[in-house]
Amino acid sequence: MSDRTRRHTDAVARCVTAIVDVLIDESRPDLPAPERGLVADYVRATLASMPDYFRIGFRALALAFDVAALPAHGQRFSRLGAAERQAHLAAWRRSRIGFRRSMIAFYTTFACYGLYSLPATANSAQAARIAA
Amino acid sequence: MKGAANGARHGSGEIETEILVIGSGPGGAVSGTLFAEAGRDVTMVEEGDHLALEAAPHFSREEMLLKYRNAGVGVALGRHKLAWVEGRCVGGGSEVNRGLYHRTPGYVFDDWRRRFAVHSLDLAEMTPHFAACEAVARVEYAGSAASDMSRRLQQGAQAQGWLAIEAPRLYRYDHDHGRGVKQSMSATFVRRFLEAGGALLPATRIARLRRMNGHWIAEGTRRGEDGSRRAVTFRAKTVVVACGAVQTPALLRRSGITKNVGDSLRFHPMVKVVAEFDRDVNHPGDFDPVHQVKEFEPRFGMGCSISTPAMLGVALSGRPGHWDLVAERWRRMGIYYVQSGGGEASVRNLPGFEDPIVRVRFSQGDLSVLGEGLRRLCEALFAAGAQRIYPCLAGYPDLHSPADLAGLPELLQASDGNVTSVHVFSSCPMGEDDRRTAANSFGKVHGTDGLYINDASLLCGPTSVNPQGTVMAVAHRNATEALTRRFH
Repeated sequence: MSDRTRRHTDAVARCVTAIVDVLIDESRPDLPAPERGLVADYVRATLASMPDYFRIGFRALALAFDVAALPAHGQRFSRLGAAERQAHLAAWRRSRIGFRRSMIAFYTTFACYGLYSLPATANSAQAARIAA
Repeated sequence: MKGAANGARHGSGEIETEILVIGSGPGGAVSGTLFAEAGRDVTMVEEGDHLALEAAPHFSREEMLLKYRNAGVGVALGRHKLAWVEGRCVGGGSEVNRGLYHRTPGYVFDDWRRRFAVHSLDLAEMTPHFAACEAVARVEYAGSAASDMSRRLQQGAQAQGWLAIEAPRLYRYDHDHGRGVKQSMSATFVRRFLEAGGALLPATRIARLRRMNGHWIAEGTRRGEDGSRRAVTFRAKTVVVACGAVQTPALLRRSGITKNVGDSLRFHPMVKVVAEFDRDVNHPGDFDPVHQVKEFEPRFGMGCSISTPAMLGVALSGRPGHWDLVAERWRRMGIYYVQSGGGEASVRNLPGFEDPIVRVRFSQGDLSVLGEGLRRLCEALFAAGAQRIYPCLAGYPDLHSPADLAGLPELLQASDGNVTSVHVFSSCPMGEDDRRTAANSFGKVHGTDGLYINDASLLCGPTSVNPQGTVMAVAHRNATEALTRRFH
């Protein structure tokens, strides 16, 4: 792998991890870092296995999403604080541009699946009961 | 041990075998087993790994990464996108599905025979092939062991006066202990294939086929334990392509065989809702749901999906507060679906890419059927006692009573990921009408010698019912015919 490719790969991984972090915060802000890592690993593994033409597109989109935060927030998405990250992701989720909404929907689906599949999470969900 | 199993090679490094079966799903596994049991020298290659059924929990993220093609990411592009999943491991889709099983309705075969000029295809002709497959891969009913969540759909349908049934599964129920054993291909036909001396090569992907000196040359790669790929070449008199309804046309098209190949891919497009009941219906350890509503088939059918907390979480992920909703109420919830046979898609290869691209088109009529089906499904669920229904469709409101159904759009309004499918077929239909078929009535590719298709690609259209039984029985019929005709 060339240095340039490695830099791109690292940048995509940082951005995807940051996206997953925001999505986890929407549901489980108290989730410890190791479990967050498991969810992010699952989403990145899914990204690495998706059809090759999608993979290239999603990598490019992740980089575009990362730098698109610059005009509004002065930093790349992956370097922003939690509130700014949430605002940037919410803007893409509500965007009138279809591929922006699609990208957030993709990460939401797979981050949720990873989150709900955590062993501790699955156990606590199974233990939870609605009040009668 | 024969062929690839004993390492028969030419000086060029080619592996020689009499019959090369590409793919080990329901079509390939049944074909390969019949050929091996007839004493033929058969090599079966599979792109995925040979994994035990228990290698990953069923419907888990680990299973998605290990056993699904592209980790479960398959998207047919178009104005209304469709997300589908396929297996990629020894046994193919049979390893990852629920194993719901039906013999094909007679009217489906009659339609295919009439429109595609398929010879010798009706329920009477097919019955021995269904029976032969069911003798190897056992089909059983859950009966009284069916889950409450599954029964709710049946109760709702009965309250509406609609026909509803319990579908059998490729499964051996142990009613005494509340357990069972899945009857996947790896657990049934693939075992018999190996016992009969067939050679199985997992982690082997065929990239293209070419004809040379009366033989087929199959070129591809084999993945080593370190993940690296090494070139591999097979030389065979007969090749049976059974890679599934998307990969089969992709391989044939890469090999220059394009007539009616990959032009008519069909699905059972599906939309889902989550129904919340007034009491617990969803218990840990329940058997997979099995009830289906048949009243409106072949226009649309209804059923109940796997409804683990993870699946419920994904189904409700578009709603704020989904975590608390699922954590508190998942035992009262079930996922239900309506599916039709609408939409048509194409499969094409993109220069420089390994994965084929699929484009799908839905007509207004297709969307109208799904819109009607969604309303009917909700009617049944309210009749079954649902307190609230959450359509898994962006922009659709939660439904609190049957009166709310009047506000649903006539045509399905679906955005990305809302329409899904687990059934894909019909990309290379069989029949004698060569204006619309890729292979003859028994799967021999038109205009070729020694090249057969024998998987879901051959089906001429939607089956209305879960198609695995049809795929297995058609494969059994075609393999029997090929042996009888000595591959001529």
